[in-house]
Parts: sequence; C-alpha cells; structure tokens
Amino acid sequence: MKRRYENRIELLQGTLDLIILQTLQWGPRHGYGIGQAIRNGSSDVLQVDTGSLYPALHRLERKKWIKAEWTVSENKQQVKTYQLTATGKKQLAHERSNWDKLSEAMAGILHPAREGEQ
Amino acid sequence: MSFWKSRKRKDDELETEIQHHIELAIRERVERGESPEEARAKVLREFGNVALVQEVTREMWTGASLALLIQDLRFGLRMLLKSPGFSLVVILTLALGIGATTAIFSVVYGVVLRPLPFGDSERLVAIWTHTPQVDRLPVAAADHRDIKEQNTVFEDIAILRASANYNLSGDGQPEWLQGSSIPANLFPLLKVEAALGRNFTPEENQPGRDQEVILSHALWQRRYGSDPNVIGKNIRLENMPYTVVGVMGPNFQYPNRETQIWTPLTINPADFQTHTGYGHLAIARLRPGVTVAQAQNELTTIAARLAQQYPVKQFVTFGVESLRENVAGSTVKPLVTLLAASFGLLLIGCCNLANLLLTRTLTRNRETAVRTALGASHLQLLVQGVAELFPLLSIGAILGLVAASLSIKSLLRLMPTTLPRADEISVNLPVMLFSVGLLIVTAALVLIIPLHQMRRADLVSTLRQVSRTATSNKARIRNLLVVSQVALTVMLLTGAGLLIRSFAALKDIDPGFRSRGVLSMRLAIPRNKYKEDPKVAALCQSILERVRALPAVESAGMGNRLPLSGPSGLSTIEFERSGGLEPGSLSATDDTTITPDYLRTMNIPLLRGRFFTEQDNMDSPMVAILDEEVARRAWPGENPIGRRVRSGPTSPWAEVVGVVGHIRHEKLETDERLQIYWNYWQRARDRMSLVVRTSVDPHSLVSPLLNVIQSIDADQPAFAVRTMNEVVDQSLSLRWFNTFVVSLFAGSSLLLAVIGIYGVIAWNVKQQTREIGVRVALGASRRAVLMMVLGKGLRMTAVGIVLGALGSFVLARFLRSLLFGINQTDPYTFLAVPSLLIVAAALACLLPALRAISVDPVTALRCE
Repeated sequence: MKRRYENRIELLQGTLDLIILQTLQWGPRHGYGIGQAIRNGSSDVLQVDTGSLYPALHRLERKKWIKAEWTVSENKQQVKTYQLTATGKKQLAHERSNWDKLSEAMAGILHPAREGEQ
Repeated sequence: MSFWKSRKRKDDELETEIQHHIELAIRERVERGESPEEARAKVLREFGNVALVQEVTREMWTGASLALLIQDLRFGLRMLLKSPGFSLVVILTLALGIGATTAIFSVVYGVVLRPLPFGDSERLVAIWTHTPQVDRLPVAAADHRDIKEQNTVFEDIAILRASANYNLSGDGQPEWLQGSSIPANLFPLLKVEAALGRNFTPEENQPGRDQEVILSHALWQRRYGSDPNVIGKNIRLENMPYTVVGVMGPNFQYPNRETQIWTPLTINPADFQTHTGYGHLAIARLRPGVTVAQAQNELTTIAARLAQQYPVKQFVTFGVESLRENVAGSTVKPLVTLLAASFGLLLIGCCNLANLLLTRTLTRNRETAVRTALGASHLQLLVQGVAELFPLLSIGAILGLVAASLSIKSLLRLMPTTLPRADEISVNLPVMLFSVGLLIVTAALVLIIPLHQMRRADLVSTLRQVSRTATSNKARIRNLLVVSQVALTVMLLTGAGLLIRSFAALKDIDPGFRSRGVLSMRLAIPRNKYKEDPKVAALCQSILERVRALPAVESAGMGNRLPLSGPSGLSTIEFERSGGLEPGSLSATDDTTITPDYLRTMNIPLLRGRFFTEQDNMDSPMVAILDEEVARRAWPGENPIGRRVRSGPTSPWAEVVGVVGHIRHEKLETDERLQIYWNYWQRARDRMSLVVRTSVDPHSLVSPLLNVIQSIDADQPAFAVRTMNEVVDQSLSLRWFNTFVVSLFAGSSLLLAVIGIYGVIAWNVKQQTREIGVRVALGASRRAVLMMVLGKGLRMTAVGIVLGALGSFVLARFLRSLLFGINQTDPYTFLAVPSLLIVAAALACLLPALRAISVDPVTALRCE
C-alpha cells in the first residue's frame, strides 16, 4: 500500500515539482487549491493524488523553493498557504528547460528518426 | 526536548492542513448539490488513507535524502536477492580480497607496527656496534659506559646479556630455561614493574650478590602453580641456590618470547678494560623530543671521539634504531612482500567488481537516463550507487573479517616459531579500522568507473538505445580493466613462481648429511657440577654407551653444534706447509667437537682416512678431521692425511686423520663455512647435541632417551628435542610460509582473472549476437566466428601479459634478496606464467565462444 505512493512520487517527482511551482507562479495557494488548479489547468487530464501532493509540498518547502504561511480564513479556520520563493522561481526556470529537453527526448523515442536504423 | 515539541507542532499543523483540504473539498461538492454525507464519503474515498498520506508526508521532514537512502538500501537488498549469482560473486570476491589483506595486515601489525608493550615505548631504541668486518654486533661493556657518560640524547641506557640460560632442577623434572641477565635499571627504563615482588637492586648487579631471580609469568604458572608465596623461595639453577625476588606480568617478554627467567647482570671489572668484548644488547630511552636521527648523530660523534682515544676503536661506529623495528628485525621484508601480494589480490578483485558493476550500469542505462531526465542530481546517483552496493559490500567485508580472524589461527601454526611477537597477532581494533578503511577505498575504486560512465551518459542516445558509440566506449574501459587485471595477475604469479623455484632449488640442495631417521636433543652440561673437561667427556661417553644399548638405535653420537642451526662465531685455523714455509691460515671455519659416531650418525661421508675412535682420547696424540674444502684449500692436490693443523699459534698441533664431506652448517642458503672436527676427549664442550639414528619412527625414541639421561644424572635436563627433518624444515619455515601464502594468493588471483576475462568476453558475445548473426548469415564459417571471439580475449590477455611481464622485472628486483639458486629473470618462471595465463584465458573464452558459434542467425537478427 505504502509502496504504491512511493513509486508514484519517484516517477512523478520532477514533473510534479515542476507543475506545483508553475501553479504557484500566479500567487499563493493552499494545498487543496493547488490540486484543483492542476486539475483545471490540465482540463481534468492530470489528477494529483493527495498522497503525492502533500509530500511534494512539504519536500519543496524543505528545499526552500516554496514557503508556507498560516492565515485565518473567513470562517475562522487556520489555513496553510504556499508561495514561491526567489530560489523557487529560479528552480522553476531550470526545471522548465529540463522538461523541454525531456520532451524532446521523448519525442525522439515516440517518433523515431528514420536515419540510423538498421 | 525542542525537537519533540517542534515535531508535535508540525504533526498538528499537518493534521489541520489535511482537515482543511477535506473540508474545502466537501464544501465544493455540497455547493454543487450533493448531500453532506454523500460528499464526505466521496471526498474521503478520493483522498485515500489519511494516516498514510500523513506518514508519507512526514517522511519529507526527516530529510528527503535519508528516506531515499533507505529506499536505495532496500533496493540494494532486493537486487541482492534477485540476482544471487551476481551477489555471490561480489561477496566472495570482496571477502577473499578483504580477508587476505586483513589477515596479513594483522600479522604485520602485530609483529612490526604495534607499539611494544612497554611504557612510552616509541621512545625506546636499540644500539649496536658496526665494525669493518661485521655490520651488526652487540655492544661492549666499556662502550656502554662511555656512551652513558658522554651522551646528551638518552634518558637512560642499559645493557643486558640476551641469553643466560640455566638448568633448573629440584622440585620436579629438571628443565632447561632460556634466561637473560639484566641490570637493575632495565625495568625502570622500559617502564615496567614486577607483577609480584620486586625488581633487582643495583647492589645485586655486583659479582657475588647475584644469586637472585625474577620469574616469567608463564614459568610461575606452569612450574609453581601461580603460588603467591613464591617470593623468597629458593630454587636451584645450575645446581646453585637462587632466591626468587619477583614475578613479571603475563605481557612482559623481553628480550624474546622464550625468555623465562631473569638474573642480575654482573660485569667483570676486567671487561671494562677491553673495548672489543662485543657481547651485550644495548637499549636506551630517548629524551623527550629527541629523534632517532639525532641520537644517531650523537652516537657517531661519540664513536669518532672513542676512535681517537683507543686505537682498537678505529673504524668502529654505532647504529641506532627504534626498538620496535629492532625486534621485528629481518621478518619485515618477507611480511611486506606478503602484504603487497594481498593488496595485489584485492586490486584484481576490484577490477572484477568494477567490471561487474559496469555491466549492471550498462543494462540499467535507460533507468539512469530517465532518472537524470527527471532531475536526479549526480550526487543522488552517487548516493544511490553506494547505497545499492552497501549491503553487498558490508556482507563481503564482514565475511572477509570473519575469515581473517579464523584463518589467523592456522596462519600462526604455519608461521615460523622464531617470528617475534607472534602471540600479539589478532584481529584487533586497529586491524579492523584498517579493514574498514580498506573497504571504503575498495568501494571508491569499484564505483568510480561506473559512476564516471553514468555522468557521461548521453541522455538522448541512451534513451534511444540505438547508438553503438557509447557502448564501445564502455567496452574499451572494460577491456582496460581486464588488461590491468591480467597484468597484476602476471606479477603475482611471477612472484610466486620465483619463490617456488627458489624453494625447490633449496630443497634440492644436498646439505651434506642425511636428516631422515635422526632424532636430536640438546644438553647444557653444568660446569659447576662437571668442572673439568674429562668429567664432561665422561658424562657424554656414559650417556652414549647406554643410548647405543637401546633397541632400534643404529648409531648415536654427540656434537656441539647441529647443522643448519643458524649463525654462530667463526674461528681461524692454521695449517702446516711443506718446504719449511710459515704455516698458512684459513679463516671462517666452524670447529665442532664430536664423539666418534657423530659423523656416521649424521651420514656425513668419509672421503679419506678414518673417523675418530674410542682410542683417540686425552692420552693419545691430538687428532682432527677436516672437511673436503679445508683439505683442498690447505693442501691442493696433496694427501692431507698425516698433515698437521692447529687453532692458533699457541695451540698444539693436531694430526689430520680423516677427510669428510662438506655440509651446510649455518643454513641451506649459504655455504661459506669451512669445517674442522675435534675429538671430545681432547677438546671438551659443555653444550652438546645428542643425535641418534634409527630405522623406526625417531619420535618413539624420545622418552627412552630422556630416561637414559635421567638415570645417569637426575638433575640433567635435555631440551630442543627435534628430528633432524624438523631441524631442516624449521630452517626453511619462514621461506616456506612466504612461498605458500604468496602462491595461495597468486592462485586466487588467477581464478579472479579467469572470471574477469570470462565476464567481459561473455558480455561482448551477448552484445554482438546480432553482428555474429549477420556474419553467419553472410556465410562466415563457425571457425571464423570462434577465432573472432577467442582472438579478442587472447589479444586482451596478451597486452596484459606484456605489461605484467614488464612489471614483474621490477618486482623481481625487489624480491632479489628473497630468491635463491635462480636468476631474478628466471626463464622458466617468465615463460611458464605467460603460458599458464594464455591457457587460462583461452579456457575462459571457450564457453562464450561456443555460445557464439551456436548463434542461430534468424533469432539473432530478430533480437534487440
């Protein structure tokens, strides 16, 4: 059971980080909001498991790419919101270029060039 | 405290965060029109196991690296179980390498490196005399006095007589004890104290006051049942009463581990007058901060001053070295050779491991590339690499350590008994630290190449996995590893070959006597009981008469020195020359006192004349027997029988009655000592060895012989009871040990090299399946395919052999002093080793080659 989550984190780690950073680019959000934003932003194609989302948020916080703040909502509830840090912004740019490389590579696999085949 | 507080707070915060998430999700669903109950159920199902999400999230706090590390470790364990063949090879290779190195290092550490069990022992030094004739001599009492007065570098300096041995009698069996005469300042200088009783006082170092002894712990336990009241007890040494004043602790063994008793050293005042009585061990304690080099300078200055003062001291100098090195002595070089061999073995194992891991990284390249693409850093890959290997490495290392500590016991049995400090050898903390360091270095060596490859992995091409360039680049590194492995193996095998050939050459040496079927034992005849020479000779005669009467005894004799019993003092003889010339002289002779049957018992052949008989005695004319060498040098081409020899200008002439074969008297390796034999009635000696030849097992004669001696003199012990075969073997024991262990290592390294070659060739064949298929499809014959695979393996081996042979020439120069009877470029060894490796490599390639020729072109082309 636990391994299921772990495997997902491992496989999606880089990608999920990128998506979270991207989502926070437009301003602070709480965990639920980030999940919804990803879902909406991908037209319901990507559904982020909470078992991946929260570990990812806490890991990114630990890496100081995002920072958390506690606020009080209109119905007097404690709410934890996340926002990008300066390093987070830099990391976002870096991860984006990485992603471009990977998608190029994936394209190479999925649509193999005709040269070189024997 | 604060850690737990903050942990608790974070837990609460996570709880709040997740509750908030769930509430928001429910609210949204309710707003869309679902009933609150329905919404809650759906949200919870969607969310999954809350506790699990919390747990997984919490892992992030403790540090991603730790969680990943654990994951990698687990992965490593899984890999271990999944590919047991791979794991077994890694573990065994490592266990072999680490085990061999640890075992040998524990010997080197115990014998050479471990601080001596004395207080502040690194400041202790040994001093010796250097004369133009002899490199290392003990120190003269007068020199000791002068150095003590004139130096500024030593806190204190002491001289002792290293061997002052005694026959112990009374209360029980008489026995012979190795002892040492020591001054009162020795124990304070070594910073040791008696465990029981006291040290000697300076007054007891005066002649006449010296009837006191200190016992070793072992003797006290063995003979006196650890009696605490032994202090003050009277014991009989050489039939004289001595009082026990002290017992040493169990760890005190000085000057060697056989020393069982210490008596006060007394120096005859006359000894201070002669400056050439080099008879004492000298040890000193350096003042704090003084180095050995400074002490050497000071001693050189003092020697120069003494040389001006006394004419006899011209060209005489002093040497100094740390006491630890001094004790280790000549064992250092053979031990270092062994350590180097074990390192070679470990290195060869490392090549195999690196190659195995390289194969694995190659097969897992895709995974690595994906990980890199997903943002795994090189550091993460490194950690992953180490963590995955960790279970294998630690199992291998632990196995190696266990094997080492188990094998030390058998190693110790094989080791020469003369090895100093052998009982200090064990797998102790410093040895374990060494092994851990070794493991780290090994892991680094093994991982460095695969990791380097990973770094260079070209993302796009690896993901496509159609490129051959990356693969061939790696193939080059794998080949390089095999080449170095072969080169190292050639060096180890050559070293072993040279040692084996030396050993065989030594075994082929004819020592000049027949050791089979001869039992020997030594007697130290006390002079205060047998004062005059005839009494000594009479004792020998009566023992021999009774021994000859024993059943199964073919012949029996005595001589004062057994063959192959190591170095001893040499003398000079003069020989009569015809034509009125002055007597000539021959130096470096061994003069041995023997009874009539000694030469017959030792089977030393009579070449001319006769042996001694019972008719040669005190009243008959002086007689001598020469070996063929003396006869040839003194009277070349002439009959020596009837000629005369003497031991010095003032000694009486003796008539030569016989010429016998020459023997190796000191050791098998050297043959420089000339031999002359004197008759025991005419030149008695009180240290004699009894030798008995028998047709039955010589060991069966031990107790009958001891009984004979006991029945003649109940106080007379016999010791060093050995067959002559054992005497020969013991003289070769260090060499045998060395040869045996190096050969063992060389054999193991050959095995590792074969595995290495096999691995690489098999992998190559697998990679080339398609190519081979194409070749076969295009009409290549099986023979061509076979030659292709074999040729590849043999080419690598050949390069390795050439490099290894070059290295071996250098190695052989280092080994030169350990070789015997062969050239350091021994053609047999230098031909046999490459041939052996070629055959081994061909065998290693054969299996993959056979697999290659069985490739079916159709399947081969379909694969990949």
